[in-house]
Amino acid sequence: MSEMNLAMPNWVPDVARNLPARFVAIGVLTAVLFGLFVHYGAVADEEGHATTQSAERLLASPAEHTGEQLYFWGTVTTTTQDSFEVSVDDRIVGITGSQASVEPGDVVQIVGTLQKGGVVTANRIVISQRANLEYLYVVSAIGLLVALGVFGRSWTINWDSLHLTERGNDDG
Amino acid sequence: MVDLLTHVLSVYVVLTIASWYVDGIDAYVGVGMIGAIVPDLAKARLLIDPDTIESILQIPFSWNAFHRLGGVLVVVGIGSLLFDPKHRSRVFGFLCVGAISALVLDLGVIRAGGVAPPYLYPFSWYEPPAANLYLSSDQWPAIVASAFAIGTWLVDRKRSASAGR
Repeated sequence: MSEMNLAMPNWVPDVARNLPARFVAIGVLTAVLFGLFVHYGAVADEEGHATTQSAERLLASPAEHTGEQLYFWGTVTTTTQDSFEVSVDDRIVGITGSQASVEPGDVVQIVGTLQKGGVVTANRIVISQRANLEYLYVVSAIGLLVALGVFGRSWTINWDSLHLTERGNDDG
Repeated sequence: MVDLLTHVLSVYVVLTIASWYVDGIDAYVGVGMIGAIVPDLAKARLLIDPDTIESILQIPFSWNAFHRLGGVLVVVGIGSLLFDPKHRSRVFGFLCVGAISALVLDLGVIRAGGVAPPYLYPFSWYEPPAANLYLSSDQWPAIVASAFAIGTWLVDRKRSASAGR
């Protein structure tokens, strides 16, 4: 099955001119996608929240932001009787004011108040236990296999046209 | 985000039941399930740290764009171009159904900050309120989705058998 080439201006190289329109369109969309990765990385903070305070920025200069509220995710690294530390990007942040039971490896969401020295007094904590995170990855892998299995029952690759086609119902 | 099994099984249930009432969409159930995977492509960060990409290319970078409406539409567009032209418009639609259903389910994730990320990016920075129903790592959503999926599969088999398919 042949495809029509895009009507391209003269300055387009022959290599691009001879590509099927479909591959040119995929190339353009991939470039757009890369642009979204870069733009989003430039304007949103680590949690993807563009309009809330960026925890990364506040934690980088705690003396200037003492008393401000912040929200971030981190991985528990060490625990003591009445506090614990979390890894946020490449930074270790002390957390106080919480009676929550956490273990190293747990992922926590924290809403808190920044104190002098970069310690955070937690106002609200949500804990995802490490064992449950391992479960999440295993069950998600099963989900991927289930989706591929159901999809593969109805669709196959037509190697002549390099298209995905419906099993049994399509020509070629 | 909710686990991927819950995402794909939810789409399976909805589209399979829809196929009982709308002719010709059986084959697109699997397409919708693949669509439900699209936002989770943001998990690429577990394989390739965006900080590594930023340090190599010296530009900001975030995989999270996969998990936003703009990224979803672009990936779905790329995906539908892989199909035979006569299926493309329907494939685009069903991939969108799966992907958007995944974003909607992710509104239910518990967020300590009270709001979900700006899923409508780049069209809007609106941060919708989080429904705070489940954690990504909770097991019960997958159990409930599996129960519904098995029930739907059994009914679907029975209907197919009685229809002589």
